[in-house]
Amino acid sequence: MSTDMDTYKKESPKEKNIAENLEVLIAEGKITRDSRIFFFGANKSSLEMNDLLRSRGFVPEGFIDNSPKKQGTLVRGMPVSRPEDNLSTWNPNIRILIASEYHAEMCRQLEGLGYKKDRQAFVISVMNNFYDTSRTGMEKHAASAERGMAVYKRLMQEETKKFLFLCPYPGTGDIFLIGGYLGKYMDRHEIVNPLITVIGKAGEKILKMYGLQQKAEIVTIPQEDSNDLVNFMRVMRDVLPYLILNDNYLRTMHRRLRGYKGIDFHTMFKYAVFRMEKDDNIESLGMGMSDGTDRDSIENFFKKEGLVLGKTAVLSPYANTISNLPIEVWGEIAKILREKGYTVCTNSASDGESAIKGTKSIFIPFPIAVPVLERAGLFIAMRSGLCDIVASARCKKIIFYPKGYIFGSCSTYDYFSLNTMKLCDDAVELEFEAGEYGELLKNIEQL
Amino acid sequence: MDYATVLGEKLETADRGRLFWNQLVKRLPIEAHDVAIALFQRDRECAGIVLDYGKYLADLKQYEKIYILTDDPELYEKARSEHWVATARKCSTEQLDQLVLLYQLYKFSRQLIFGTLHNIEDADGTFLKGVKDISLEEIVVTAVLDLPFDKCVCATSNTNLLH
Repeated sequence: MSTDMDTYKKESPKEKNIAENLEVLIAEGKITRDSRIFFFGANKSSLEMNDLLRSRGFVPEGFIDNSPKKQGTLVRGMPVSRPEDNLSTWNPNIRILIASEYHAEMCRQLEGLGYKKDRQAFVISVMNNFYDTSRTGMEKHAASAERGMAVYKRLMQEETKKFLFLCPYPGTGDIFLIGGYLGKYMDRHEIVNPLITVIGKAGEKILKMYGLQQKAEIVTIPQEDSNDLVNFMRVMRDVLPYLILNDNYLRTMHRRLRGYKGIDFHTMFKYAVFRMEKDDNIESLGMGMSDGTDRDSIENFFKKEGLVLGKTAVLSPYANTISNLPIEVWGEIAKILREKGYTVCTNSASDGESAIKGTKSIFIPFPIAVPVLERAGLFIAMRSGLCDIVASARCKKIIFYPKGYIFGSCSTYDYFSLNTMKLCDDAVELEFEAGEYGELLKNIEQL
Repeated sequence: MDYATVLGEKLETADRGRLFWNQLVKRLPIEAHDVAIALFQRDRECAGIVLDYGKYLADLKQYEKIYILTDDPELYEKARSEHWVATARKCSTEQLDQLVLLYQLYKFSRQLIFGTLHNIEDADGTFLKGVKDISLEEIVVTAVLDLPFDKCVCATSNTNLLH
C-alpha cells in the first residue's frame, strides 16, 4: 500500500531518514493527533517534519527557537517563539521534535522546563550526516576531508609543518578566551609563526586586540571551509601539527563536563583546550582608561553619538547562545533609566539588532568597548560574548541570565558567570525566570 | 608532503574501521539498546576506571548488553570477570585505531564508547584533574561514560561492589 510517507521517502536520503524516524514515533503512539507538537529550531529539517506531519493529518502548533532573530517571526504561517513562551506551563500533551546537531543542549534546556527526552522531547536523526556506516555515508565525510585538504593547501601554500590553530566556532566569548591563552600556549610549546583560522571578521579583530598578529598569521575563512578543514586535520592528526581551539566542536564527551562541580566556560578553555596549569592566568586585554587608551578619541565618540559622560546607560539586549529578555522588558528598563536621568543607548552590532524603544542605536567597536563603558558609567546586558570583552571595565555592570539548565549539569549562570569565571568580581549578575521580570526591574529601580 | 596520498591512506584505514564496526554490529550482535566500549592498552588508567564503573551503564542508562573491545590481555580478562559485561572481545591495536580514525572522520555510532580521553577529541579533559578537587575517576565517569558520578558513588558506598 502506498502512503504519503512512501512518497516522501523517495525525496532524499535526509527526508527519508526524517520520515522513518517520525513513522516510528507515530507507530509507537508517542505522537498522536491529540499531541500539541512544536519543533525546536526553525530550520529546514523542522520544515520537512512539519510538511510530513501535515500530510498525515497532524497539526503542529509552531516552532520554538533560541535565536532572537527568529523569535516573533512566522514560518509557514506558524509562530516562532522562545522555548519559555510555549513550554513554561507544563502540559503532558506537548511533544517537541528536534532535528538539530545541537539536540543534546536542546534536550537539556527542555529538561529544565520539565520535558523529558524520549517522553515529550524526541530527537529526529537526519542520519545522513552521522550514524550512517554505509560506504555512501562515510564517503560524504571523506569528501569533506578532501575539501579540507584543498583548504589546507591553499592556506599553507608551500610551507609544510606550519602549526595550524583552528577556531571553528565564531562565538565572541570563545575567541576572547582563545586570545587570552593562545600567546602563552605558543610560547610554552615554542610554536613560531603559526597560522590561525577564524570565522568572521569579529573573531579576527578580537585576536588582534591581543596582538596575536605579531606572532601569527590570522586568516578569516568561511564556516564551511573551516568545517572541512576540521575534518581534514582530525584525520591527519598524527601527521600534521594543529590544535582545534574548542572544547567539543561537534563532539560529545567533553560537553558532559560542562558545569560539573563548577567547571565554567573559562575553566574548560584554560585546562581542557589549552592544557594550562593552575598558576597560568588569562592575558589581560589592557584596554581600560588607565592603560593609556586615548581619552580624546573616547570623548569624541561620546560627542559624536550625543552621549553624556558618566551618565550614559549602554544596553546590550542581544545574545546568540542563550535566550533573551523580551524586548518589552528592555523597553521598561530603558524607561526607568531615562527617568533616572540616564542617556540610554542600545549597542547594535548588526542590522538585526534594532535599538530598544526610546534608546539611541550605537555601535561600540571592540577595541574601545572598555574605555567607552568606563566613561559611560552603566552597562546592562544579556550575557553574551561582549560581556567577556568588557568584563574588566570599571563601571557598573548588570548582567542578565535566564534561569534553567543549558549545558550539562549547570545553569547558564553557573557556566557563564563573569564573576565565577574570574573575569571580574564586580558584576551584578541576575537570573530571571521567563515571565517573571519584577525582580530585575526592581534592581534597575534601585540603581 | 603528498597530502593526497597520505589522506587516501588514512581514509582507507577509516574504511577498514567502518567494515570492522559493521562486522561487530552484525556478529556480536550490537542491537538497538546495546553498547560497546573500546578499552586501550595505552590508557589503562582510564580503562580501569571504565571497568570499575561500567556496571552503572546498565543500571542508570538501561543498556541491555554491554560489550568490551580491548587490545589488552589483562583488561580482557578483567572484563570477562565482570558480570555486567555481555561479551569481552580481543581486538588488535590496529583495529581499535581504525575505529578511532573513523571517529575522527565522523561520529559514526552512538553505540561505541571510547574508553579514553587522550587523542580522541580536540580537548583533553584529563587536564581538569585536580581543578576544583575533581578526580580522574569523576572525569572519566562523567565524560566517557556519561554517568552521574554522585549516583555511582552512592551505590558504591552502599553495596561495596566496586574497588
